[in-house]
Amino acid sequence: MINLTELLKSKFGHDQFRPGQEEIIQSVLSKRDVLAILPTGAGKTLCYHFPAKLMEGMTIVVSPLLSLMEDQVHQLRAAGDKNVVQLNGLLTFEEKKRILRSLNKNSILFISPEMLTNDLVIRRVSGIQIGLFVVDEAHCISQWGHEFRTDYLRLHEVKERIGNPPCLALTATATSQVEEDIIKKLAMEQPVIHRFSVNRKQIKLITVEAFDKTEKLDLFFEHLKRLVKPAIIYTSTRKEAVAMAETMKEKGYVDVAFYHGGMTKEDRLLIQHQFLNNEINYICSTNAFGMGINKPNVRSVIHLHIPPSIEQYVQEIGRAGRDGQESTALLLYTKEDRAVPMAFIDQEFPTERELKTWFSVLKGWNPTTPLVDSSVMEELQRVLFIDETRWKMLLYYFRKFGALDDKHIHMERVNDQLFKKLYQHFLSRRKHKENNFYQIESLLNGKECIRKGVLQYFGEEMTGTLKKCCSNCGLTIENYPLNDYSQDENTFASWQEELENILVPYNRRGLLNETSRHN
Amino acid sequence: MNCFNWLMLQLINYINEQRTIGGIYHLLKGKRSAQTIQDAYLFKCSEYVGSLKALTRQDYTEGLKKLEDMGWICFQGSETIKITESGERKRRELSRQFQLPEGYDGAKYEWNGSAGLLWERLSLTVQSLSFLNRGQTSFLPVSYHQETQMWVKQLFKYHSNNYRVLAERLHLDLYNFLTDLPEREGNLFVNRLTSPMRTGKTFKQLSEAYQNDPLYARIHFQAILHRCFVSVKGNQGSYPMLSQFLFGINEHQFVTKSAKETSRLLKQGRTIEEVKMLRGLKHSTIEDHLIELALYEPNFSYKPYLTYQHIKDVLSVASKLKTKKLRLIKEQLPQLSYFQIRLALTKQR
Ligand SMILES: Nc1ncnc2c1ncn2[C@@H]1O[C@H](COP(=O)(O)OP(=O)(O)OP(=O)(O)O)[C@@H](O)[C@H]1O
Ligand SMILES: [Mg+2]
Ligand SMILES: [Zn+2]
Repeated sequence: MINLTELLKSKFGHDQFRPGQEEIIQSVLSKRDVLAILPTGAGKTLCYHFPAKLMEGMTIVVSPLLSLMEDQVHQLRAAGDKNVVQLNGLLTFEEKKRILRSLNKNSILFISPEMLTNDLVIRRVSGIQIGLFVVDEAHCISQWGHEFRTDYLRLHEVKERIGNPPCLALTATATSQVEEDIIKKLAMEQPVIHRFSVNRKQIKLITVEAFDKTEKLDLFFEHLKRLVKPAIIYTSTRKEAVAMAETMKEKGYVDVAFYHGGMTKEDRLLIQHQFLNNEINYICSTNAFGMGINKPNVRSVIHLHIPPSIEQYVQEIGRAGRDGQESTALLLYTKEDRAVPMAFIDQEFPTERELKTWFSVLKGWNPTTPLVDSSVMEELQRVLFIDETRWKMLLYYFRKFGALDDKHIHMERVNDQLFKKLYQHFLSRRKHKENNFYQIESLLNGKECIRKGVLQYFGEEMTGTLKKCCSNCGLTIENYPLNDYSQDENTFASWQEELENILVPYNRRGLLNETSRHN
Repeated sequence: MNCFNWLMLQLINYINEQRTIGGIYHLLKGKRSAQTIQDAYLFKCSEYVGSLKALTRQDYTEGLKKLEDMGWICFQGSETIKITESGERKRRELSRQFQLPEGYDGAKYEWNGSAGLLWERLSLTVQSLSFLNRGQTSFLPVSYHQETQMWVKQLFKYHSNNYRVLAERLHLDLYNFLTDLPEREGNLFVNRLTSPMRTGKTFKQLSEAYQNDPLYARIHFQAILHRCFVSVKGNQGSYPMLSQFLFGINEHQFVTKSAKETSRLLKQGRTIEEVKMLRGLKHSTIEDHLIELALYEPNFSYKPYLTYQHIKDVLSVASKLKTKKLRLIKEQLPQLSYFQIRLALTKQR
């Protein structure tokens, strides 16, 4: 038996395992399917990185967000792993081809579910021995898989096609219902389940209800005087993220930037790196920046809206305090804030009328037209007047209910029965999502300890009491001292000095002489 | 936003109803097609080509809608647009506020990605040197392009991995180059670089010196790169290090590889028909290639396709009717084909 702790020290530089890690790694090494539920920041990355180094064959890591993929790839590479690569939709065709060619049995491949369900990718990957199939942030299967990222629900097909390697699913936030969903949707076989408490004691929870939007803004800046930076500020839309960064700047918080999924890849990376390097200290963001991101010293996470579920709330506040130091999560909201998440849910599902229209248009479609041609698909999508996301969702369910195969829509199956099935399904999913939102709303409206409520949601009892726990346990922002941030003036001196600093910091004098000679 | 409106109005004004909105979009985006190439020269807006490379069709449509809502343009039918009187006033006003920076030339350096490639090489080299010279071997590269990464590795190998000397030489060249630019541009350039002390800034973050317009900052930044080509090429001896960064980057390379291949076959003495057969291409595609060749090959021969008189006829009709619309010209010169007319128009620059 190999000594795991010794390996941990020599290969990863950690003295000991954190709670849960060793058990999980043991289970993975024994080639069982494993579901690991460990709180945010507990060190789940190590649970696949470690076995990946020991197990024969390539490791595939399915990851949901670009920002997260970047972050993980960087950290693994920084830990000395040069075989780490990533495949996502933002790469050019050439780059994708090159990466696919470069894969080998030592690779650790980070990939989005959308890329992994691509036929070309599967064919390439199945030619390589695969040691471990990892689904990071596995709750996304439940949270996003059913609607706007249905490729999550096809991961089990991929798993089968690449020869059913051992599967490890990781998440911080799984209710027992989500746990069941993950196991089922990934077709895990008699998985070993390691579950630990979701609680993050060092994150203090404060929620404040504002009367209206104006008061919310005032309260935000009042709190900002005491909340410690670096901080992440979450808004519900891209527009709000941009506007909030602007407002903060006007108020003198100059080290702020915004981040959202609509920015160019280059800008996104620059902002992310600036934040990780403490060059900017406030980031106003949509949920595109969150889940999984590992910046040790985030001191505050602020929500300026109500997240759509307790899961997402827990994920996002989990960016704070990963170095183990005390941190704060503030949620500022008004009654009006419910409109946005409700509208999002509305957009996600077709109404009965829409669905009816789609069905009747489809019936008029020439059933012999093969669908393999992507232009036929596009044409159909255009005729149906349906957006990309919902189109993919519809196709997924058509396929699932046997009305679609690789080449044809089976028109005889596009009938009332299918309509009812689909409609019922969407209805119950909509209820489910609405319910998720009601749960976080009632958590906010309640008078009980917020932490306790969160734990209960995940099926846990709270044990013991914390000193500074949450705003319902008596904690308020007034308990915090005022920040004393001397104005961070921009330290960029002159380009001459900066350029010298970048390239020839060790040789100031000599170089200056040389330059003047040259001129 | 204003700079965006300015660019849109400029292009719309240059085209002046003679092409569809699609044609304008291709110019802004720098589409690699014979038609766009020819339009760029025909309408004398070649320096603008590719100035909005990242423009999506959706953003473009929305942009047009805004201009229309402001009353600055109006649609003539669904596919052509015209600048209105107040639009023209706005364009003039914006043209006082914004100008293409000195040395900026889209057709030369944006179209085929020369400027972008130069920047990738430069920024990755600077980043690598600054990290390596501080003993940091692990960092997140600013460029993920394998080609660029290989190029930088080659460069290092060529200099025997002597990072200190390399950094000193590069510093010297960059210093000398930037000194010739306005102070503001030097700041812009250096602020974009990534090193252990500082991550490069986004154009949004650098827009303050550029009328708070990220796009305007971007254009100035690209102009620095364009000027780098000119300065270094014109004086290789003064920039021993920077000139190595230009190796293999062609400014005036054929915009399409396919046209190059056609040119090779024609030079072997093949006829158009033969090239068509050999390459399995459509007649119209070969014609597009010929247009490209006419625009870019210094000693392209018109003779096989047109007489001197034809060219003169086309140019005089075009100037008499004040049009570049092929249909109108053909009405006057029915004996010529559309291809011949297009080819003749390449002489009009
Ligand atoms: N055994 C260990 N000893 C010390 N530090 C560790 C250990 N394991 C992990 N860490 C550190 O803990 C931090 C958080 O780890 P990681 O990003 O894997 O958390 P996570 O569980 O994936 O969280 P999330 O749910 O937010 O994705 C990292 O900086 C990592 O280096
Ligand atoms: Mg993680
Ligand atoms: Zn409490």
